[in-house]
Amino acid sequence: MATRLLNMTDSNVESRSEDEEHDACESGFSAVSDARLVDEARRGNTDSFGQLVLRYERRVLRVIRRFMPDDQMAQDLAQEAFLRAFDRLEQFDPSRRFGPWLFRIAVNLTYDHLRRVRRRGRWALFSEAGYERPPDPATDDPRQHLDTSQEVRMVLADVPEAYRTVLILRDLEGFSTSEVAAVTERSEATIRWRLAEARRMFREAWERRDRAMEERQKRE
Amino acid sequence: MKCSDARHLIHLAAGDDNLPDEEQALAEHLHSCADCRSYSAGMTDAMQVLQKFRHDTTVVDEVSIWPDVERRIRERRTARPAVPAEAPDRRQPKRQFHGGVVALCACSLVLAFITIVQSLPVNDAMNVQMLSPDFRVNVGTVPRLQPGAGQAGSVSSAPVFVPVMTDSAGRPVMIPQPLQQSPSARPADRQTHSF
Ligand SMILES: [Zn+2]
Repeated sequence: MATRLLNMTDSNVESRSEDEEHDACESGFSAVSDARLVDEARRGNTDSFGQLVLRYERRVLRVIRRFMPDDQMAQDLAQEAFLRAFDRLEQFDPSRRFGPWLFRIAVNLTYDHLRRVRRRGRWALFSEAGYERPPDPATDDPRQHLDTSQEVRMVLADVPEAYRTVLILRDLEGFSTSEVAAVTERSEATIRWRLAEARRMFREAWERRDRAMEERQKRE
Repeated sequence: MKCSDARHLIHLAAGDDNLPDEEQALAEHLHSCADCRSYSAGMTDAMQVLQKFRHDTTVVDEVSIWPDVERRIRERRTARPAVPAEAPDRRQPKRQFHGGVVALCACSLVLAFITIVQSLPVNDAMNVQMLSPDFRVNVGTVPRLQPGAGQAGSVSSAPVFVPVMTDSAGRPVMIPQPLQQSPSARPADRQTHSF
């Protein structure tokens, strides 16, 4: 099996330049382990926690943005994830890795937010505003105006949460299966099974979308 | 290998997630199964869409969120008096007074007390004791509504027994029944007791 094991810290994010990497190493930034920074943060050293934030923020933000297109909301959720992690540092098991624990917080927060939005959407259906807004023929099918990224995001939204998380972390963010297992607190065997199912679901949903587009083009 | 097993491995192979022996078994199956070869090609196309999306998303905002996070941590600390860092053991959660638990205990005790009091002989002075059913007095009949099958129901009569109590000297004691003797009650419901 070819391994795609990526370090979870921001220092290995592909978009980071080599100069930045060099600077980070020069300053000793990456030399300090997560465990030590966590330990210092638990003793009340906010600066150490700041180093952890700088180390993970881009990756956390990227993961959150996989689930939602709203940049500002993703930023807010990322902040909230770090604040929650800081508040719960006492509960963190130091024998485990900090990264998966942090990503678990971020993913859970994101799903909580998406559920709230979905509930609000359901309520809006029953509100007066929902009834008063007439359907706009020009934007009747929102998919007509989507680019590929938005379409992929919509198709992903149809995949059940447990499978979508695995698909996003593994195939879009390049986490290894063991890292996904650590984030989701499931066994690697479960993750492998879910990954296979998630890819099947995505493929079927994407093919359905392709067929719908072809039929629309025929009608036009 | 069955085609269903091969499909499972095809999904994993799409992201290089098969073990070497699984990869070998899949390759052998694909060599001999055109359906699965076609399915595998479709899976590759779907994965290419995902790969494209993977490289599409970039974090536009290069500004760090740490200053905002730090500010919010400081605001929280000023809102809640900070605990000195040199005494981490004192940062353990304090024991809190749970008013709800105390109220629940109090209610339970009151209920238990009422139950015990009700089970005791209430009036020692009169030493009231319930007689056995043999000493019940039939005071007449009362109409009783009996539901009929799909009909409004029929009225029949049923004997009414009233328990008789005696005091310590064995004399019968009247049990006060204000509701049944209320003047507002309908005549059929009203019962008079004569001993
Ligand atoms: Zn086959």
